[in-house]
Amino acid sequence: MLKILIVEDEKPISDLIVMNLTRAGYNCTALYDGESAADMLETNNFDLILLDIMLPKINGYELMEYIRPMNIPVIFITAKASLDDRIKGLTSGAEDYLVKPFEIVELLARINIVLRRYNKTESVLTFKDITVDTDNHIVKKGDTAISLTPKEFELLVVFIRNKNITLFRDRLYELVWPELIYSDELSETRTLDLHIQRLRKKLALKNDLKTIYNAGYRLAE
Amino acid sequence: MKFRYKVLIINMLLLSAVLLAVGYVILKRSYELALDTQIENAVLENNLAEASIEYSLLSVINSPRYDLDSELASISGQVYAGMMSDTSDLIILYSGNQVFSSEENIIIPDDLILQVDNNIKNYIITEEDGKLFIYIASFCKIDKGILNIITRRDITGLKRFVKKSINDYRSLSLIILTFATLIIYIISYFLTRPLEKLNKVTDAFAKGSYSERSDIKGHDEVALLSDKFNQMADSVETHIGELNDMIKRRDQFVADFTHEIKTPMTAIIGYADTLRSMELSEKERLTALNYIFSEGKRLEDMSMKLFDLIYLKSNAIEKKPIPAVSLGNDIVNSVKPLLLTDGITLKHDFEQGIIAGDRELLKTVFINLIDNARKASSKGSEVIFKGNKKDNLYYFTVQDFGVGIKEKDLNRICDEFYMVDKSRSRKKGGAGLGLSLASLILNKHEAVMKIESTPNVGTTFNICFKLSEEVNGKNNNE
Repeated sequence: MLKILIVEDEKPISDLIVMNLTRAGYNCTALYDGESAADMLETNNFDLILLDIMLPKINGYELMEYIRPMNIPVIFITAKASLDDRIKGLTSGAEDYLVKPFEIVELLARINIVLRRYNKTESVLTFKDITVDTDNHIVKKGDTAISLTPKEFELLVVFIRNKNITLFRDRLYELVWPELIYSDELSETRTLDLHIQRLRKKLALKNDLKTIYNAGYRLAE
Repeated sequence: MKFRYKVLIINMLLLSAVLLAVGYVILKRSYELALDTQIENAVLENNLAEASIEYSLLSVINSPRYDLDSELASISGQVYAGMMSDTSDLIILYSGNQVFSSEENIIIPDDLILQVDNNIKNYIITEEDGKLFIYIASFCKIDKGILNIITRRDITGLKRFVKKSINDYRSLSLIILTFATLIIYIISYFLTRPLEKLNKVTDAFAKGSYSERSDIKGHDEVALLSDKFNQMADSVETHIGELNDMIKRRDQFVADFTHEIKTPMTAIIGYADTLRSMELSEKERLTALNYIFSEGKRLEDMSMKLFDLIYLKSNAIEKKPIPAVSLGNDIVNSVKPLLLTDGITLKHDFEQGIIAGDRELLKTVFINLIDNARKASSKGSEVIFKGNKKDNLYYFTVQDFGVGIKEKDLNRICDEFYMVDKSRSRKKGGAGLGLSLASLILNKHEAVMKIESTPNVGTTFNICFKLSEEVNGKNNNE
C-alpha cells in the first residue's frame, strides 16, 4: 500500500483528503504543521507528500527545502493562485501544484500521474479476473486477451482506479473525452452509454458496472 | 528662449540706446565747443588784421598824396605775410572792388553780409571741395570808400576732429557693450541658475521620482518658490504614499479574502462531492455533513461581517444616548451561555453613565471582544467585563487570562483576516474579521481602544468613550 503524507493545517480539508485517499486505497498520515512533518519525515518513509504552503511554524517552501534531497514527490496544495506563487512552487522542486478550491477527482488524478512518473504505481491493474496492463495496453479476462478501442481502454482504467466511487457523467466525459466538454452536443450525446454497453458486453461486467440513476456509473467490487 | 537670453537682450538694447543718446549729446556739445573756439580764433585773427591795416592806413592817409588802392594792396600783403597763419587767407575789398587776395580764385560767398554796422563782425561757414572754411567780414568807411577786410580760415580740422571723436566713441561703445554683454550674461546666468535647478527637479518630480527635492537656499523669490515647491512635493509624496498604501491594503484585502473563502469552499464542495460519489459509513457521513454545515456557517459569518465592514466604511452611524449599565447587561446576557459551555466564568460590573452611540453596533464590538477572550482562554479560566466612569470619560474593559498576544502581532490584530494563531482561531470558528470590525465601529464612535497583552498571562482591551452627559451639560451652560 502506498504511503501518503498530508501536511495541511486546515482540519476540514485534511480530513476530506484523508477520507478520499483512504477509500482510493492509500495509506494516509495527516499532520497539521511543518515542524511535526519534518520530525515525521526523519523517521518514516513516504511515497508522496501533499503539502500546504501556509503552515504554522515551518511553511511549505521551507519544508520543501528539507524534503528535496529525499527524492519524495511533492504536490503543493494551496489557496495561493497567483502565477508568481505557482512558479515559486514548481521551481522549488514540487512535482505539481494544485490550487484550492480543487475537486477530489482532480487530486486523485494528479496523484496518479505523479506516482506513475516515479514508477510507484503498479502498471498492472486488476479487478476480479480482469487484468489491465497499462504500459502495454493489454486487457485480459482470465487468460483470454480482450481487444478494446483506445477510449474503451481509458474508460476501463478510470473505473478500476476509482472502484466503488460513483463517477458522474460529466466527470467521465471530463476524464475520457475532454475534447467533448465544451461542445454543444454533450447533453445529447450517447457516446458514454455506448462505450459502457460495449465494456459490459466485452468483459461481462453487467452486474459490476452499475448505472446510478440520474448520476452516472459505478464499478462496485 | 531662455530667461537669461531675454535679460541679456533687453539689457543690451537698453545700454545701446543709452550709449547712443549719451554719445549724441556729448559729441554735439564738443563739436559746438570746438566750432565756437574756431570762430573766436577767426574773429581774433580778423580783428588783428583789421587793426594792423587800419593802423598802417592812418600814416598813408596823412601823407599828401597817395594811391589808396595800391597802398592797400601792399599793406595787406605785409599784414598777411606778417601775422596770419598758413591756413588763413586775406581778401580786401575797397568800395566793392577786390584790391588784395592772398590766394587766387577765392570767390566770396554771396550770402556773406558785407554791409553791417561798425565794430560788428559777420561770419559764414561754407564747404568748398570737401574743405570747411569760415569767412569773417569787417566793415569800415575810409576816405569816402568802404573798406571790407575779409579773412578766410580753413577749419577742415574741425571736421576731422568730429570724425575722429565719432570713431573713438564708437570703439569705446563697442568695448563697453562687449564687456557689458559678458558681465550681464554671467550675472543673469547666476541669477537664473536656481531656476534651472528648480526646473530640473520639477522635471524629475513630474516623471515620478517623488522623493526629489530642491535645495536652493536664500530669501529671494526663487528660494521662496523652491520652498513652496518642496512643501508641495512633501504633500504630494505623502498623498501618493497614502494612495499606494491604500491600494496595497486593498490588494491585500482581496488576496486575503479569496484565500479565506477558498478553504471553506474547497471543504464544502469536496464533502458534498464525496457524499454523492461514495457509499460512506454513518460516521463518515456525519463528519462530512458537519463540515459542510460548519464551513457554510463560517462563510455566512464572514460574509455578514464583511457586509458590515463595507457598509460601515461608507456610511455614517446614528448616535443615540445609551445607558452603560443597560448596554453592559445586554451584552452579558448574549455571551454568557457561550462562555458557560466552554467552562469560562464571566465577571461583570458597570458604573452608571451615558454614552452616545449605536446600540447594536456597540453590542457587536463587545460580543466580538468577549468572544476573542473566550477563544484565548482555557477551561476554568475567567473573563472580566466592566465599566468605569472617570472624569468626563467612560471606560469599558474586557480582560482575559488566556494565551495573550505577542508584541509583533499587536499592531496587526486589527487588520482584516489577520489571525495570530490561524489553526486555533479556525478551530474556534474565527475568520479574522472580528477585531477589524470592532475597531472600525469604535472609530466611528470616536472611541479609543487600547490593547495590553503579555503572552501566557492575558490580554486587556480598554475602550474609552466620551460621556454623553458632558456634551449635554455643556449645551445647557451655553
